[in-house]
Amino acid sequence: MENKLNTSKTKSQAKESRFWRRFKKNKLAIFGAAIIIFIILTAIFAPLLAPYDPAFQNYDKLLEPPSFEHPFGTDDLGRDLLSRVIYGSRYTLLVGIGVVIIVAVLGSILGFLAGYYGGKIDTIIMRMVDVMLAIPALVLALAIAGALGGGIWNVIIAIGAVGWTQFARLVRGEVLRIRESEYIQAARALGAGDFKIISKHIAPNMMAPVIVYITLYIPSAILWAASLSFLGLGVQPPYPEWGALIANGRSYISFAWWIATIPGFAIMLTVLGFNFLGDGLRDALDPKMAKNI
Amino acid sequence: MLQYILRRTLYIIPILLGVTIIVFSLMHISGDPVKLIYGTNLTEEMLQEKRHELGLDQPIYSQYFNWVSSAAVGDLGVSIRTHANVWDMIRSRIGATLELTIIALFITLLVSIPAGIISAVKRYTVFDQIARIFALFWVSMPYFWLGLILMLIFSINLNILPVSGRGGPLWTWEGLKYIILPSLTLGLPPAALFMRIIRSNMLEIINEDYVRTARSKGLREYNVVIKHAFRNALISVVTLLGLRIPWLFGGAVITETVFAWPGMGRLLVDSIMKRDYPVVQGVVLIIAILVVLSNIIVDFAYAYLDPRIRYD
Repeated sequence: MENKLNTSKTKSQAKESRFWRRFKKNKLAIFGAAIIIFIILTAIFAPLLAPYDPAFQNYDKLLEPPSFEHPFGTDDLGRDLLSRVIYGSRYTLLVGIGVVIIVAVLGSILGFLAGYYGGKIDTIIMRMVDVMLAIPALVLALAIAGALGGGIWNVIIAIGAVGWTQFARLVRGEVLRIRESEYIQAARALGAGDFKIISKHIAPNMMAPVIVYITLYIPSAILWAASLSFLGLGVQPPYPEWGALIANGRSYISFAWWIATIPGFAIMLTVLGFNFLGDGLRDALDPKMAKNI
Repeated sequence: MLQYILRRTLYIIPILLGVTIIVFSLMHISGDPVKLIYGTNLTEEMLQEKRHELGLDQPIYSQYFNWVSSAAVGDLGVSIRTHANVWDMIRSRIGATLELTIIALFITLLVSIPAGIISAVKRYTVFDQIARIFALFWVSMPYFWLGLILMLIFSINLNILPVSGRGGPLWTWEGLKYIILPSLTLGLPPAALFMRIIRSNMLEIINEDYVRTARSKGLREYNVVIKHAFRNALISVVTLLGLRIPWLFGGAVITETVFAWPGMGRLLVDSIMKRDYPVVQGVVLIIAILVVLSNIIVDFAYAYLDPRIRYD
């Protein structure tokens, strides 16, 4: 147990180092973090890493199988698939980050309002969540993306608009739990206002579950965005988004398997990375949540 | 019990009303549907006439009211493109979607329940480790990609199953062979998730006092695991089932598109592409109704399985 005389600063430092100790022990989590760093670096340095211009069409080399010259082969227009997959990482990360920002902002605001103020506000927001959950998220995202038209920003908006519900529930639950605790009552008794209670006392205490949820939500956002693009309602060709690459390769799958299969491995690797990292963060931040899953 | 069923069923009404508001407003964020269909080919007067014909010149609330009141009696309007009755279009495809989702669900349970139980009983053995790694990979795969990979292996390379489409009735091989790949595509990824939940629940339960008591009474291990432990783990399976049902229908949309399965999902994607908004509204509404109804069934199963749940 920590010494009760410790200042809050050293307490939080102790918490931090405990987190790192636990996190570092988890090999899968470190592996996941390494995958994500690798993907981020690929996205940033795409122009340096890609051997060819991803849009360059070489009509002498249509549908070439993987070779030394084109490690991932070429597509129906003679474009180098490796270069396209490398550039595609940018779309995937952008979608992951964009969606999470929308989900976190919308979900936090609505979850806070519902949990902190309760009453009618809570009822209205939670009924809204119930209604949204009755429509499969992917179906709703498809319909919204279709109504807005394609393009990466509309994909982000569509997925963000349907994804906030579970997050709002999580935030609400946490706020309810913390709101009733004694130190919040003490703060209120000392005359702290709503803003101070929320920003100083409630928000910091719910960071752990929020961070875990967000990390584990990114893979879903990535999979949905890829699905939307695959169905032709997301990022449109010629942009080398991974889902769109697979959709394009689908027509050639019987004689040029590489176009549809290789970008799928890229999606899977990214999603695996976030899943490993999220699991590791959960175990390290809150051992009680870890259990045996 | 009867009162509980009644109250739970009545709760559908506000949910479905909320759904109709979302579904209705959905198509009004896409701009003027008449312009989208007829484009620049028509003069302004002709456009106005079309708008009047489709009722789009009325105020938005009366459009909504008209739509909801006809939907309530089963009239979902007609397609803008083909002028076919929307309900007839959906009705001819609903069977295919239900067939696919039910078989996929069956596969999910058939794979995950034994795998989850064995993983828990044989904890930390080779089987457990392999199952865990498999599970991690399965949940990280996009449905449509898994579908294409299965198609590549079994239809194109091995040439033992058809590439796409829907055959005859399921009790004949002619019909059955068409549904194998789509249902595996839809059923396997969630199986990984179910397996992990079952495993973790079983592990918790196996250490409970009543399981130890059952063992000490000299019951056979099979009886202890299945009758005492698994029956209780089943409650968490049902909970998860309720949460995953919307995903099942969402996944069906993708799977149907990959395998050209003639269900509601493909109809939805086609209609979104063509901006045929009465059809989109109709399909989304029917899918939402199916989700709500399935959730009710799950709730009843839950109340039946867990005697601690009171009906009042």
